[in-house]
Amino acid sequence: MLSRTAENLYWACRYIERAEMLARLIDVGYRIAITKKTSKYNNEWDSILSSSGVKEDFLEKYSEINQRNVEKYLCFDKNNMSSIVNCIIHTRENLRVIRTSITREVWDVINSAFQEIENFKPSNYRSSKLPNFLRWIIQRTSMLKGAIVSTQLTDDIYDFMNLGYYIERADNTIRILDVKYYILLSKDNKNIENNYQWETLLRSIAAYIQYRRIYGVNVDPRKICHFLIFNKSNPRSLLYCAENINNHVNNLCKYYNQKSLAYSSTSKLLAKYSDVTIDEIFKTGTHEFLLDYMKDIDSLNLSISSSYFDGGYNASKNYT
Amino acid sequence: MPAYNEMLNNNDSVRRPYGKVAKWIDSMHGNIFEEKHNEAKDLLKRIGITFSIYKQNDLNERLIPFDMVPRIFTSKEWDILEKGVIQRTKAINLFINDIYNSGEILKDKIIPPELIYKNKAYEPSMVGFTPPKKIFSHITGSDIVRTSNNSFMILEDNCRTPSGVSYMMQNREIMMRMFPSLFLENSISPIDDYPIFLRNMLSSVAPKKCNNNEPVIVILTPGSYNSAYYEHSFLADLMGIELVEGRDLFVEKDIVYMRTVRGRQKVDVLYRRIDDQYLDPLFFDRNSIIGVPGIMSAYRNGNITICNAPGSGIADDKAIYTYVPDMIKFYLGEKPILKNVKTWKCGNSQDLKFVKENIKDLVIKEVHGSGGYGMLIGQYSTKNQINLFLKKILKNPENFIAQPTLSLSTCPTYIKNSLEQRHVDFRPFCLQGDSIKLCKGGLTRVALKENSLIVNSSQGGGVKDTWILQPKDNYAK
Repeated sequence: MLSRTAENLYWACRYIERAEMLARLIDVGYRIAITKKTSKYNNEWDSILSSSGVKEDFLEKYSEINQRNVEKYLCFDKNNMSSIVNCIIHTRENLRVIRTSITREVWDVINSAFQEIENFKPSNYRSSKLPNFLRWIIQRTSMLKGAIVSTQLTDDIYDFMNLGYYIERADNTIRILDVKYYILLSKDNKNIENNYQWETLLRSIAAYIQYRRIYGVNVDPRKICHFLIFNKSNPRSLLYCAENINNHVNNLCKYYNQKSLAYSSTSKLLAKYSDVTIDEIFKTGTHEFLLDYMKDIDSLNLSISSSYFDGGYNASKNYT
Repeated sequence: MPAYNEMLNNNDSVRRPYGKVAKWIDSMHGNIFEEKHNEAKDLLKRIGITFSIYKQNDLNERLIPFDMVPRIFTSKEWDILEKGVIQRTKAINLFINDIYNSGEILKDKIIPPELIYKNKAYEPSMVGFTPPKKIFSHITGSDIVRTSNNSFMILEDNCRTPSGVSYMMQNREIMMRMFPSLFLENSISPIDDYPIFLRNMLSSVAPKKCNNNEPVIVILTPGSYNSAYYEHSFLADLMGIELVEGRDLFVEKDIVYMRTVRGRQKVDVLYRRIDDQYLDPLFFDRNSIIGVPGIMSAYRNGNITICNAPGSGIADDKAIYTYVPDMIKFYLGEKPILKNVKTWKCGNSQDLKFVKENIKDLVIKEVHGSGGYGMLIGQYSTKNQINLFLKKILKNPENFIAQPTLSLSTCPTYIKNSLEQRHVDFRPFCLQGDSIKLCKGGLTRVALKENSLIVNSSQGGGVKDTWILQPKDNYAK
């Protein structure tokens, strides 16, 4: 397989996962805006911008952080590289140039999503249409995943796609957790609002009901951190992502019959975090823990890139 | 003189090879033809056969209009075409090898040397170089027109990167899916082995130094915004080889490598679909970002074969075209089987005089033009247009040639709910490596505008499936 093909597969899935995460985040913002439950801390949109990592760029364009501006910027702005519309376009473009690597079913889903979003006119857009739009995005991203799982061969193509999915998801979970945690620890927040904030966090990762099933109805930072960091059955937990990343890298090594830099990075990552406990995290500080984890994910991303996307161009990194 | 009608005799009776097709057409009453026409369109869209037009940051993917009525050649007709094209391609390859090496045809004063050495398509960096099997133009697509029952003429030779073969294959695919019974009733030569021939041909021209048991072959595309990208990926897919862009390749110590997930992999044969000038920024256009720096040096050192060879374009230049019959006599000692179209060179003062006097009846073409651009059809032009074009000719006469307005044959074509006669041409694809072969089919292009003689897809032309009947079926009832 060409290095470029692997890179396209990887990024296609990073972008689609990002689109889904954004849709969920914005949905949470919308829910808070219509319930107006939080009177004091009312700028959920601020935390959404921080979670999605585009707050600085946003403030260069808009002076006020309000629903309409954030919606426009995160959903439709073509100048925002990570807007939902751009994520769909990037996914489709990354898959278009390697169409022969994906099944017709996979192509159909992303291509129709692209055609529909291209026909979507932001000028006719009203905020009341937001929930429909977000639901539509989440449906399309789920359909794409379904098409991949049910029609693609489980070969190296599948591994690169999944690496994209899980790296992006780990990255998103860290961001959401970190931003929320930061807000929850600030003094202005009363307990009842805290609880509400935690609930919105669970909603944003599509795990509101699932959490209750495992941990009961009371939200508690410790339980939530456990759920998002260590719970192996939660498909959005960091451990779940790390294990899957490790599996797919192992598959590639077996498939190509050669070890890679990515192999040692992911083994190290798993080993590093498998012995950590919630108590230790709370002792050293959740923010510090998450920052450290983020760095590890970043360097894993780099080692995947130099192991598979470089293609022996830099001979020193060639593992043949 | 009316154009030769491929399907009907002068008395409107149906020509024998078209017998079953005529019945098939008659069987589609009412709206069925229209329904089928739309069904074909949908099918094309679904399969994704488009050519891309990229402008203002928007990618337009357009469909080439497909016409359902096939164009048919009998095996006798095909015999002539096949022998003629093979003969011509052999001579052309001998010619290119000759002019980059000893130049015998120039020494014998058959072609004036200035026509070669002053030609933009002449590539000085190829001088003294002999590619494997002495083949330069591995894939040739000649444009052929028919003007009467037994007159086929070569309009143009395409020796650089002829395109259209994917349409040939997809047209057939669509016809077989939609009208399987036609293929049971008629014995039509299959064309689906083209990718196998192509791959075998490319393997056969691997460099002598190639150590890989099975040569590593790749297709080089300018990228997904190129109008023929679909064809590039289609061919790569069917040959089971990688489709690469310039950035997927790099050269180290005169060896060309491809960047793969397993690391670097040596490449032996490059089927390039980009023009000479973009191939290597160290050698040609310095600004090219779609090429591979250093590939020409690797090529000249015999570490990779480039198909078609750089500099092959000298043979399909419109000024050189007039000498192809002489090449056939010179290199093969044979009489040309397919005729050239009579051509006047405006650079020659006697010819220019003739062109000025007869411009109404001529087609004028730019020597280096292609795609139906930069030409004038006297018969369909206004006085004003003619005068403007004449001025252009007189400014730089060498840049123009003139040919009689040919009456291209016509084929019934579906236009707005009825069948009408439209002009067609034909492009077969010839492969030359250690052996030479013409695919038993080709691309029939049809001018969809009434009376139009311009069949190019960039000018609104369409395509048809082309059948080569097998001998026993020629006169089936």
